[in-house]
Amino acid sequence: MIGQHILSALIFFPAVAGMALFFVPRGRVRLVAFTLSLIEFFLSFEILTQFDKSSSALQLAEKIPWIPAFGIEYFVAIDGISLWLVFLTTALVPITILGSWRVISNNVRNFHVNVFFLQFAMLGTFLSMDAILFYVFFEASLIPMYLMIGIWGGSRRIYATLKFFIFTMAGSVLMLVSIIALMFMARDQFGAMTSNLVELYKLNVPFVNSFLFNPQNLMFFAFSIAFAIKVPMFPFHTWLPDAHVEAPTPGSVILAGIMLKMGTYGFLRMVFPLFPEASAYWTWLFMLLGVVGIIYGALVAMVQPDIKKLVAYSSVSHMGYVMIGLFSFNYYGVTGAIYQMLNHGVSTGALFLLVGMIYERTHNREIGKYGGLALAMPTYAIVFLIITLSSIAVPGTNGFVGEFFILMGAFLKNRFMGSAAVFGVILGAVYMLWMVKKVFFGKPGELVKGEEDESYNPLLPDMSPREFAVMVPLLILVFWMGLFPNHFLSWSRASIDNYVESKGSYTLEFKKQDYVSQLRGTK
Amino acid sequence: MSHNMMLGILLLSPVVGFLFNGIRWKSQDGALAGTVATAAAGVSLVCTALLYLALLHMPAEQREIYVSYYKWADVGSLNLNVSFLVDEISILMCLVVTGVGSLIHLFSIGYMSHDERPSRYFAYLNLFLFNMLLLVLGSNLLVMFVGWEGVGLCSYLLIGFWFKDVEKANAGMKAFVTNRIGDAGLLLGVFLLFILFNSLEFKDINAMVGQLDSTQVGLVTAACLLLFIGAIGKSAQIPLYVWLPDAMAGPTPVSALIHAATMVTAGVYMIVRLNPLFLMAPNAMLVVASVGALTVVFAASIGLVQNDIKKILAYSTVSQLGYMFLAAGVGAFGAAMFHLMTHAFFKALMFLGAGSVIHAMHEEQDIRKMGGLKKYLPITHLTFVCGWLAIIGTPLFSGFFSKDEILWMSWHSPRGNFVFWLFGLIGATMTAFYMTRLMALTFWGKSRVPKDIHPHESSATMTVPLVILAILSVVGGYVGVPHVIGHALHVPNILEGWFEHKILSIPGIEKSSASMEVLLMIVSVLAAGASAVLAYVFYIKDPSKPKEFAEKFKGLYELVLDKYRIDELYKKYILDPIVKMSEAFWLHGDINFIDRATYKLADFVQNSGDGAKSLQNGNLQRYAFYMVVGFLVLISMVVL
Repeated sequence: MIGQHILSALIFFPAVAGMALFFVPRGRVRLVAFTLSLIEFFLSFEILTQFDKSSSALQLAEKIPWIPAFGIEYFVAIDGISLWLVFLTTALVPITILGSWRVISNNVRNFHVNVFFLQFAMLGTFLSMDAILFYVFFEASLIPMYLMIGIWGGSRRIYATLKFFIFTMAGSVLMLVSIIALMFMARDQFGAMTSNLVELYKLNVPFVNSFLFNPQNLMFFAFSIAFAIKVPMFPFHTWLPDAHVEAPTPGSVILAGIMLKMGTYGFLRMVFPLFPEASAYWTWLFMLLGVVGIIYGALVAMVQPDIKKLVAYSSVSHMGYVMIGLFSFNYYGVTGAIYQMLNHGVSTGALFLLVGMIYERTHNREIGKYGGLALAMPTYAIVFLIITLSSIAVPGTNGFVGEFFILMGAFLKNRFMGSAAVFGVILGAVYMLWMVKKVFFGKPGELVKGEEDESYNPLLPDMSPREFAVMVPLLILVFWMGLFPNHFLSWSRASIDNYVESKGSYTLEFKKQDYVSQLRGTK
Repeated sequence: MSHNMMLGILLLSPVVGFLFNGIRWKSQDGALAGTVATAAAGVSLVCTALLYLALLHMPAEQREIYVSYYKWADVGSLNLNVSFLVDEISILMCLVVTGVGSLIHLFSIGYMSHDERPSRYFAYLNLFLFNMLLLVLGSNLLVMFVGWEGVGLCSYLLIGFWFKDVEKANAGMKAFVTNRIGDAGLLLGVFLLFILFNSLEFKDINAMVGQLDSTQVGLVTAACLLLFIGAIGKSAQIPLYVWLPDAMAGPTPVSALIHAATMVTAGVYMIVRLNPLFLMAPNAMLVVASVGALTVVFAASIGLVQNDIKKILAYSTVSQLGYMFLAAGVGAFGAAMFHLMTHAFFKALMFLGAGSVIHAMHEEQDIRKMGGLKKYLPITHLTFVCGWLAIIGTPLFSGFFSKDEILWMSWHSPRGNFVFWLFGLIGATMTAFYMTRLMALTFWGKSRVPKDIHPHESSATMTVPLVILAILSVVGGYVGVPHVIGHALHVPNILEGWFEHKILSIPGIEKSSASMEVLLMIVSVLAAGASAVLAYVFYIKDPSKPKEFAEKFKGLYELVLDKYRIDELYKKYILDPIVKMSEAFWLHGDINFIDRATYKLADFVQNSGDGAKSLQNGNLQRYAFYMVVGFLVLISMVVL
């Protein structure tokens, strides 16, 4: 039963889990939530048993009419592009719940309900193959995140949530208008309205090279701005540092680790296949913004006095890599971009968890007040350093694989842009190691030193077993993904090849035998 | 045992050592940690020796062991495997790395015996060895690059090993970032090579170079120059050499292993590895040779006046690496490898010797506070003398053979010229001076040791490596006896024969003229000898002379003493402006501009909302007025 509906099961299990939490005794909420999220994680392995990695087709598809009058369907499916993003989502949530064990002390139940609804919306976004359904999930994810920052956030949380909400909302409204326009276009071209993405890919959206305001250009920008804000891409990135600084640790982890990927995923799933000519035409602009984002984000990260803001700006830089990889439109760039999305989820998620750990201890994130922390918290320092290395893409860690292929793809696409992007590699090392040096090395700083010589602030004990347990899976992923990338990439290869090779005429097929739901009565 | 397995053990033995010490990183048992780490390095050495014997028994044309362990990634037309290539070039380098590496591991046991965190130190050391082996043995540019950055990481960790001192942490970071600049260039070079050859395997690249047509020479030159940027960073050449002197902040055995014998020679190794490619690009080779020649003299000149024993050796290393690039640049790749090897012996020896001195002097590194140490440290002194004689090119010591081959080739090779030779000669003269000065101030003359320090000879684990390296420094040159000397004595040039099938000869090279070669040899020996004597007179016979000179040329002396103030220059014109610009981006770009613009946009939306609001303020008369106006408009439209 679940076998045939595994995707729906994955999407709706968190929603059910969220509701179920209302009936759990107060003291058990955390434990139950953690267990449920682990069940969800193990459930996602069912995909691997059914997934055929030699095929580029959409797999495990389920399709039920939703609003037949407009051709809107509940249509979910998975392929090599979304496969690992789904895993990222199911894996990061239990880690986040375990990591927020002590951070969240008020409204514990509501908090976990929020986390599950967020997971529900994010999985829905990654698995939807219907534009309207995608839009609904895409927007639905805003609400739990809005609540999370607004209720459990820091002192300027209202400002941050408002900024976050309005920025992203403003973008996606434009997208909704375009989706509706596409549906009407489908009516004109196919005779019936539909929001099925597989059908929409076949649309011929008029593109006139010399005329700026042609339909494809307009819709391309409507979609692109929506996703570029989400990514966030320079110059739409200013909501991110504020949101991160105010968000509680779990909020930051999910926001950076998963939600930002909804933007880049949107480019992959919607923008390029729907608007191939406009995407090719505007490649220069997005490559340029991507490169500017890489360097700008890195430079601004370098001068941040607040650790969390530094990590937030580093996200801007890292997501710039993803963007130039995507816009390279070759095997290397796209592969690297997809891999980098996962890497960023792992390493930035881990960084936010780590920053959260010392914030819990001292309630201070000012880099200048630390120093010599490696003496007080040696285990923590080692873990932090390993994650830093992953973030600055040292070979052997996951970050290297992504950056290597992205830079290669960008360089093959455009020598100049590729060369410029390489500066990010240098700057990345500068801002991260600078921060590491100021926080961990040297003499104990104001917050680190204790009353007497050679003693340290009693508020700063080394990592607890729980904290270590939170980091272990991430550390394993860092090295596993870095040393054996083929274990992951081989699952995506067929989809990526199909994607890159069918420029402008992208089509997706889906396997008949998975198409169980369609057989049930609907035509 | 199959080659496959032998190579596996060779590579994984340091990993096992790393994991052993890494897992028990809190342990303070230095003896155990050191023993395990040294044993791990020793196992690698044995495997290397066995592989060397295996190669020796193969027919000369097919001396190659290629092993592929697993598929790393398979993207587009790029199929990347974790694979290794043992051939004449890599096995020689591997012997140096594991041989000198094992000795330095052994030496470290004594040197680090009082340290608080020995397990961590030895874990890093083993990790370094593993990465270095990846770099050397990798059969493609990817595996090499993994090792290349890996050694940089270990260098960072070991330079900043005593991170409580923020200066040491700074030095580590400087090394990493400077290397990253080089790595960025290297990465672009790798991409260009992929565009040219559609493969990253050394074998493919070197085999396909000949098939390129002349229109692609430009791209090959660009690729070579980009790769060379990587080499400049890693091997500390102008203008990226600045990290190496600072790297002396690390424990001294680290300086010997990483910053003298092995890692810093990686750039030279890479160029030799790709010698058919570089031979295709004469212009790139000219750049390589020029940078090398300049660095030889520049770094040696700084070494003349430094007072920190490790800094002198560091600048000496930079200068000697310059020789290797000079050799590679004029096409004498064999000579570059030869000097790489002899330099590894005598420089590792001298660094370890310096370590022994520093250990004896209770962490004092200023040679002005030493002198007369010969009496207290007889073994260290004797072995140091061997290194000194080797580096200044005393005939029949190892450095003599390798350096003179470079000098001769920089004159004789069709890609060399008189200027290159002259730079090499000046460098050799300066080398003789500063090394003699170092000997005189440290070991000879009157003691200037502060009263509270009682120097003592080091333990056997420290002196045994010194003795072995001293022997190697003396005899290591006999594998490359030049033909002018060897011919008469019936000694073959073993190294040249060994490389015959892997290193191409320079196009258009003529047969050596023996008389010229001997003449140049005599000139360089005499110049170096005279310079050494001068230094001896200056610092032993007439110690007031150096001061007089320093007074006389005060400006120049201070400029050189301050290392030409290059670091300050970089800070003022590169680093500070970048930080200022970044702050401006943040405060003006993000906060003042982008955020403000969005607020303006929000205000605009709100204001226009306010404007529209007055249309529906509930005033009935106004509504009636609107209706009349609308009605009139409609009427007029219909009528007209």
